[in-house]
Amino acid sequence: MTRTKLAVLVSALLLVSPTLAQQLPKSPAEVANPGGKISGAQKLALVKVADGFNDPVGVSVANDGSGRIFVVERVGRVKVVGKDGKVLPKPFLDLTKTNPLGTEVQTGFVEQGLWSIAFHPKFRENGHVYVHFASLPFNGASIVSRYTVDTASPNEITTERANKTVKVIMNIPQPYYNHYGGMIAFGPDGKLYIGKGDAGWEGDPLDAGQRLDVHWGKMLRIDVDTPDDDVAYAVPKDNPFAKADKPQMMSLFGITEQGFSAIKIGSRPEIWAYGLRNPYMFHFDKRSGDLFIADVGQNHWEEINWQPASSKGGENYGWKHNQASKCHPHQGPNEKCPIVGVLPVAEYPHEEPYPGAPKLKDNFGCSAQGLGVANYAGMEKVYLVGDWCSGRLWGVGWDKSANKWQMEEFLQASLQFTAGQVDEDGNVLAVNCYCFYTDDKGPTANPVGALWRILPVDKVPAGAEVAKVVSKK
Amino acid sequence: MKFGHFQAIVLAGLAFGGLASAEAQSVVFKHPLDDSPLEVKLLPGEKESDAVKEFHATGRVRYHTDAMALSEGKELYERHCQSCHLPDGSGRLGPSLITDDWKYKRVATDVGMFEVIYAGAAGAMQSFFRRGLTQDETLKIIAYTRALKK
Repeated sequence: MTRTKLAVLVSALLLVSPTLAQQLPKSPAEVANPGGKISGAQKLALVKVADGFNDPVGVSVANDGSGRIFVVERVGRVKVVGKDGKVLPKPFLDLTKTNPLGTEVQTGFVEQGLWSIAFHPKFRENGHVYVHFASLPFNGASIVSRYTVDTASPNEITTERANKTVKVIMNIPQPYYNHYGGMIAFGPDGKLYIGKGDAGWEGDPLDAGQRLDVHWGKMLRIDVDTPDDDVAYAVPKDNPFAKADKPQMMSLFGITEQGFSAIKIGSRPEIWAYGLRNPYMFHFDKRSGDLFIADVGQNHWEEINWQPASSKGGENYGWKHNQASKCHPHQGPNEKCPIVGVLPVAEYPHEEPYPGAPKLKDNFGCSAQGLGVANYAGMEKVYLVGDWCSGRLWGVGWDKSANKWQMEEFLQASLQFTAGQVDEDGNVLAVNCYCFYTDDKGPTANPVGALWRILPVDKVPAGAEVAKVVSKK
Repeated sequence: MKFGHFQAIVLAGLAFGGLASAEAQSVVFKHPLDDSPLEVKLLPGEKESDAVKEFHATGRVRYHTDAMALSEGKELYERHCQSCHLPDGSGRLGPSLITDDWKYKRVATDVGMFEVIYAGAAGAMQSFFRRGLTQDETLKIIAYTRALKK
């Protein structure tokens, strides 16, 4: 079922059509900035679920009714947190042991490591899990691979089992050690989406964001439901560039200019959307099928992108011509440049919003990490975004009464958010590490991070440990 | 009041003047994020130096004019601080340390700067206690940082 069909079905079932009212900003002035208001949102708390993780940089759930939470440790392990909040002693998956010559995972730079685990929509039946990591044997290339759980051992894919069942889905070379992207997740359409960064350095020297002949700087969309002995994956026929490079005879006449423009020689058919810098985290709203992407920015601005469930893909988010709704390179308030492609729905500045600008005292960050779409605590389809540097937690949502996007800071924590996910009950989870660029001692040497659940303050269980925060509500 | 935070120091340490252990907790430390009470602990195996004892009692950092301590403070600053705050303290990822327009007003006092280094503030400015920095080393960093501003 396509995302569009699913969204129509969901909307029909709910007898509401909230997505109809939402629209993309038509001008930079319509892009939400901090200082807005998410109507109805309650005061939030970060409730500790579990602690003791080595550089937790990803979190996921199996949606199999078990209530388990899977925390991704950068070093190459996935830990299981039971419904009771206890961390199982043995990892669910340990990629530091699957290769007899050493670890499978390159962790030399803080942006490298194991980033994400995704569970197949039919995980209960087929036991398939997918991971995305920087590979040591492949010199830092990013690999998407599949492993299959043994039903007799649901909480541990042993090394033997891992090596017996592994299927490599993609191997994407990486020229530089930063901007990998990281998250992988199944959409409501059953396809696997992969957030890929622009492959590094700064300023996108490869022009990866705009080029269609590379996987970098993109959201990729693939079909993993292919026979194991056939191909690693298939390209969904409705991908925007699925046929843009198909072999064909040349015809010069009888074809419209629109038809000619659809020919994109060398384009990669896996591309779903492009013009992204480093989409480390993205999330689908389970209710509507809409997609939010937190695209990590460069020196001055972070951006939050939104795709309605009806999207047919092919969006260009503008990098490296634009970052957020600004020009790149960003010069300041009086700069002039075209807006390329689709504007983000929200953006927030760094401490110095443009070169030489007075430093901000509040409402800034440096690295947007999407945590999940909240449909609780007075929020309806509000994307929660945590900042890696400032510890701020923002909400981004559509304001029905004002007919515009809003962005509100909910709280500031003494935490560096790295990732998030919605749990089986619909609450947003977050993890934090102590692994900042200037402070990284290695994936197992840094102080341990924790797993948190974001709850309204009046729903914090008695006796629960909460993060120290300054609430802005 | 400009140095209102410094009022957190109770008078006991000043009144007694000495450095007996009973006076060791005279300064009341507060967390930079929300001013909640901050318990200042020693790392496993960390010995409380006389300078630390004096600091806990009075809020005074004795290393400001100690050349050897300043030299050690420079090394520590270069190892732990300069990547965010730059070698001259003018700030990059982290705020300027040579300004009077402090990001956290408490940093105007040595006790406030200690609180930020020891406990961390928000986001990337994480606790240096968690990172394994001793309190005596923290005092040396404070002394060196103040010298940068001069």
